[in-house]
Amino acid sequence: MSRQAAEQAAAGTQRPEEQKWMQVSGLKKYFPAAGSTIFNRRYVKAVDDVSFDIRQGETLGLVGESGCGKSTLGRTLIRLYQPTAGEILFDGKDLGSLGGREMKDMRRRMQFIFQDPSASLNPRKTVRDILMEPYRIHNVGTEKEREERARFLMDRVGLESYYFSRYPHEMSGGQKQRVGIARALALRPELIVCDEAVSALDVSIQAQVINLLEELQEEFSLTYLFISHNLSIVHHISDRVAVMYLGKIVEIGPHDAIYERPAHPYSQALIAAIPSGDRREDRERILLTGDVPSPVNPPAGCRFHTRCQRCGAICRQETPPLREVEKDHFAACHFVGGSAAADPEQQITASAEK
Amino acid sequence: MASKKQDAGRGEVLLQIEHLSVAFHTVEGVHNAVRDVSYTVQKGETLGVVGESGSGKSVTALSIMRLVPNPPGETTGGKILFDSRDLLSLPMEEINRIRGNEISMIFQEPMTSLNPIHTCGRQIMEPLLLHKGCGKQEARQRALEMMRLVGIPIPEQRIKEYPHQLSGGMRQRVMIAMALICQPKLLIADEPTTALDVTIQAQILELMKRLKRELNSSIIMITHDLGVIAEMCDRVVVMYAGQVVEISEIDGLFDHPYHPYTEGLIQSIPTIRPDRPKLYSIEGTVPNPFAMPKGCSFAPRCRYAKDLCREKSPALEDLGGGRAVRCWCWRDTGKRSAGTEEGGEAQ
Amino acid sequence: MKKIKYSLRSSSFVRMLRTNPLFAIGVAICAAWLVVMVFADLIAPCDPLLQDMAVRLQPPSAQHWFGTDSLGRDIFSRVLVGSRISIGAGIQCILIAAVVGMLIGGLSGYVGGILDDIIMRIGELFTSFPSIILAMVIASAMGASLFNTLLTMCIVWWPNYARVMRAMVIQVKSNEYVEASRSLGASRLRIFFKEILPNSIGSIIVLATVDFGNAILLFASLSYMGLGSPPPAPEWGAMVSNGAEQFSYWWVATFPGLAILSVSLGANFIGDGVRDYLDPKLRKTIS
Repeated sequence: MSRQAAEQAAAGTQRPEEQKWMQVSGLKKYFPAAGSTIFNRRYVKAVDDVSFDIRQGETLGLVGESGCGKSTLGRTLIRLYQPTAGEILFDGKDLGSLGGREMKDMRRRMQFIFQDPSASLNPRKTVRDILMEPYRIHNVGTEKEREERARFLMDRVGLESYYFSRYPHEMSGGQKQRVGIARALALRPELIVCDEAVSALDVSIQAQVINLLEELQEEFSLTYLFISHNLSIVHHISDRVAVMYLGKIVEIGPHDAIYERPAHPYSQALIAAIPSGDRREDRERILLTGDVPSPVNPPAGCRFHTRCQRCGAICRQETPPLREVEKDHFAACHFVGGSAAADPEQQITASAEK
Repeated sequence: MASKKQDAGRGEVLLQIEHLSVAFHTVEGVHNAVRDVSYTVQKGETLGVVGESGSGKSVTALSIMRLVPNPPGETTGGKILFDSRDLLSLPMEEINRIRGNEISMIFQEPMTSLNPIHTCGRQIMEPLLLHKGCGKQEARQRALEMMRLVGIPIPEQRIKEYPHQLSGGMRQRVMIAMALICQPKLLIADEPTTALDVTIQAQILELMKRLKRELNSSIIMITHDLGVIAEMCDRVVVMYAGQVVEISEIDGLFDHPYHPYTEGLIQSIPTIRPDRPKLYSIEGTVPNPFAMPKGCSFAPRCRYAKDLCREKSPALEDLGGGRAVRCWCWRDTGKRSAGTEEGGEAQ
Repeated sequence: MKKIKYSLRSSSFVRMLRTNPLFAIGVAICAAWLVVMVFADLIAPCDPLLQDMAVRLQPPSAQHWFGTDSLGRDIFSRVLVGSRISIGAGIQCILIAAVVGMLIGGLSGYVGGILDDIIMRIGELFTSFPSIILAMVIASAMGASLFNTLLTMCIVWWPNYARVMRAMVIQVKSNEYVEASRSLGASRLRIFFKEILPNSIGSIIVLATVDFGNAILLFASLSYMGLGSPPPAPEWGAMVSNGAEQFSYWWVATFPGLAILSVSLGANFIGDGVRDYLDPKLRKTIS
């Protein structure tokens, strides 16, 4: 895929941001479940057969509820976790099979911003040491040059040089997150995975950090995978959005398509659940009932069928594939797109049978 | 400016906080977490309290319950009148009779606020046994009813289960059932949905609205999420650095915020709008509690700040119509906000 | 930059001295013993090995402050000079045991899996015996000498440190900053020494200061049984043992005993203070 894309790009027929830059196919990440023994192996299927692509220069939003595997997906993508199965093609190389040396070089091109800025900074290091560490690891420049670069980074993320020799606990949450961002930028990566990067911050600080991320994207031509449970923020920052439920991507498409014409019943419920702030309009809310099932033992067929109001007989048996709803907009639901889309009458009788 | 809703009993004051001040004594010095806070809660209303971490919103709520740890915390002044009794001067036995009975509280983190070694049923029944002198059988019956009311499926089964066996949403329901079992006059909800997922949050908010209608309790809703406030509340109190900076009916607040901080907050939350304008951000950070600015606490971050603001701290000014604001230049706020969407150079 | 660091550190040290009187006492005791250790030769009024049968077993007096023992040696001088052996042995034993235990425990916790199981079972083997009996067995098998006794004590003691270190490492390695370092491409060795070790070493330091008193006591007990430093050397445990044979002459055993007590008490106080300081809950009110 990526070779094709590269050729097309070389021929100049396609704009660079439409290249298939990072291609993920059939990615799985299983963890051994608690209480699993040698005789009775059970797995938490955190990411289960996920395929999508990330295009250079875009921001792909990844939304879903806690435990849906979005964070695991982000970590597996840059190989903080070794994938159980599947392929992550980046620049024509499969990340899962890279050796130590090659992976170390690859790490310079992809970075991670963590949710909790207090937990992701070593409490016993000063900001100076934290920001010089990436250069030390990769043997870039002399100590003096490293310090200069660290100071430059501080300036870029809007931290006063006063904090250079401070420890993380002497800073506020927003400032710590800026340090985390500066560290991620140090090696001039191309892809940054932001895992709930603003969720732990106060509202007024959130806006600062979102604006900063947007500025930096432009300045350093970054590509973001922006993972968040906050749909309003994802809407604000993303070009495309992927919705995850129980280890699977159930819908992916351009952000306006997802927010204005969500095709999957789960996406519809998610978007309806955003507190709108408009009380006068008594919107019809799709309230989901029940809880997310356990990822150790996910429901057969469509994983959403236990909470779905449109659930039909086929949903309990067959896992729906991602099907194109409109250009570039895919959803994994039996009743959306393709030939299997049944008419409402049939659905009602189907669910009444049960 | 009058409220559009005509709830029964609105207008009658249930809780009145007058000039409350709470200080914490720490190694670094005295931290005035709550500074001269006054607000009222009317019967049957939902009052929202918004503010960032460290704004004193939770400490105020804890003071109502007399739950501020002492030491290091200390109430340095003020009154909290509840049904014409001052909660701050009541003896502890009296407070214990009110807690969980007339006033109850829902906490943010349902896992840590439930006792892991007791069954959910027992924890829901506890206030009944304690306050109402119910028998075991009757308490069980009412607990089951309450669990059904808050939407816990198969309550006969759940009543025997322990907190760790439940999901986050279910635990929060257990907390709410526990808080509501004695039909309190006032329910204090401290970030009740922050730890929950969007779809579960929607369920819980819907549930709280319904319960308020059915039980006619008053609710103090403490949160940093303006979306939740807009959806749930009748009136809003905005707090910043330990002070009330604005009080308003909900409708007026979002259309015409008077305090620059409120305005900044509203403009800094991303909304689901197709055009996606650049977010306004309030520059800087919350002031260090041990080095409060001399004048208005918000002045260092305010885009309207004048010399007066940096010199003298403004008082909470009553503007009539249920609105009050603590700002020298609230008249400017609305006028300039339209023109300075891109702004933010104030620092 | 260094200056800021220094002033921060020293001010929190001063604050600890002020707010925690026991810590201050501990520091005072240990500082005093440190001075004694360094200047023992100058302070001691007599030669600690000089025997004078004419003045044997004399009670404390102006000339012999702590009295004399059965060979007429000045007990005051012996206690002062003996501090070098006893406290020195304690420090060496703790240092070696802590470093060895820390590395083994760190490896065990960081690598995990089968290696972890093996190391921990070996550690349990050592800790399942009372330390004093185990030490006696090993020391008598290897013969009585200062070096052997130290070695014995380290063998007995490392599992404590390994266990604490392992628990800390397992906790610390799940922190996001460890993951952050990995995402930057740091090697496992670098992560261990740069990220994990500095954050787990705190509890080892606490354990070491608390254990310091125990080490002196164990060394003293081994010496008491004749397994420590060989006779003429003024070792506190040996002195107590020597005095215990002559019950009617109370001063012979009392003063070295008091010395042991004061050092272990001082070390314990310091250990408690350090633990309080490192407890993040207590620090939260500061930050």
